Amino acid sequence: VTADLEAAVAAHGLRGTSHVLPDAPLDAETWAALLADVRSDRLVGLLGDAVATEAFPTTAQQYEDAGEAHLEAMDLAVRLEQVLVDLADRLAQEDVPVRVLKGPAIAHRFYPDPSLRAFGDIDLLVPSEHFDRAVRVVAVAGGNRQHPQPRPGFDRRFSKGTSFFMDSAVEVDLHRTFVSGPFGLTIDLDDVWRESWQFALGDVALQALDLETCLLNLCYHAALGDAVPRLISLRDIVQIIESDDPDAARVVALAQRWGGGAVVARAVTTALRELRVESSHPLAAWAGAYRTDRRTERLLAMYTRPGNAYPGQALAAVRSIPGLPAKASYLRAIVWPDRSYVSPRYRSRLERWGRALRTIGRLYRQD
Amino acid sequence: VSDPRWGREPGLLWRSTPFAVVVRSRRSEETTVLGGSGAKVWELIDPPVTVADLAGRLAGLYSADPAIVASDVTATLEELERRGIARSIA
Repeated sequence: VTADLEAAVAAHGLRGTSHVLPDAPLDAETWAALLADVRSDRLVGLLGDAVATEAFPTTAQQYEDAGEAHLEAMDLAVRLEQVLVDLADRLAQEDVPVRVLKGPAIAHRFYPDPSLRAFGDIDLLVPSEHFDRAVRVVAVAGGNRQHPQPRPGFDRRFSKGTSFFMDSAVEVDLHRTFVSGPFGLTIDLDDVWRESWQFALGDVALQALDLETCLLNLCYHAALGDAVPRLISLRDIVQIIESDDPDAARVVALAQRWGGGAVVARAVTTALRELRVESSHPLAAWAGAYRTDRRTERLLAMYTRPGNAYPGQALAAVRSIPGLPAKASYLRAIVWPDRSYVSPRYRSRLERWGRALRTIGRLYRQD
Repeated sequence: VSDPRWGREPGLLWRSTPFAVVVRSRRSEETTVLGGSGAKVWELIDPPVTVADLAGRLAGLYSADPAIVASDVTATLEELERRGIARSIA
């Protein structure tokens, strides 16, 4: 019951959705379950608006609950933005170019009011050649890196990026590309960095991705970031398609050049289906007609099957790395990483290999 | 000499929700939550206004005596200034 209600909240305010919000207050148990889901899926801004505009009728207590959840989420949003502008300043001082991804950029650009879009971390894209310097800047600013890289230089050549917890207990993700594994490695990062969109937070000018590249980033995140896409990620996609009219020909051309046509088609069809929106945008027709070949289906499954996806993605990525020396360097790093990479999570390299081989074996048996 | 005007401190991070306004300055370790008339004051000081203008508008909104409202408004503005989110402009 709450899954359907939550999808209706995620679709609140979208033109053309056939989702319907309840016409009377929910019972206490259903409301509590819905509120918990809405909080964890970062939909409290949309719920707050639905409740305040009476599109979603509530009891007085439920109204208060929705307001409290909304204010908590916005407190987090401004705390995250405080960290964002501080890091953007520091990175600019070290001449590290930055693009703000997802949450704050999406909230300020694509939603009628930024309070509708909650977010839980900061995502920054930096160029490969500046990645190591960016890591040092974030560490100096108080960032505690969550995982070391397998070997020196691995991050700037092969990884999606790395995560930090700041002293203020907020998470910052530094990205080099959009996703890990084979689909992340075939993205042409020159395309990503070619254009940008500028916005300001406080008195700091920031750069985000241009419209079409931003949509592609969201599609990669929605289709490959979690086994089940988050509703807020799907809402972002529909929000952009329906409100900003991205250039479908450019989106498709970039997606195909990056080998990600199936990724984008899957994200767009899933978003429109889950939010029950009949879209007349050309991207909807293209995505609906897209046919994915068997090899690509197998690659997509590496990201979306339940369980630890990393070993399968890491192995599948080898084919996407150009040149034998680079492939050898990559394999050496993932098969024989530094001890500092192994020790926090495994008792020995042997244990790590055993677990990875079991995961990969399970993936291929499922095939 | 004209009355000072009151406006928002530049460079703030904020959200206006249907329930309250959430404001944080770049250097602050605290978020300020403004509800009711505090949120209205926040809304009306952009662009900057004098206390008399602000009190007049609030008195109209709440059908109150402008003289009494002016005293409350001054206290509110001083509190916002103390929190680093509003300032008087000579």
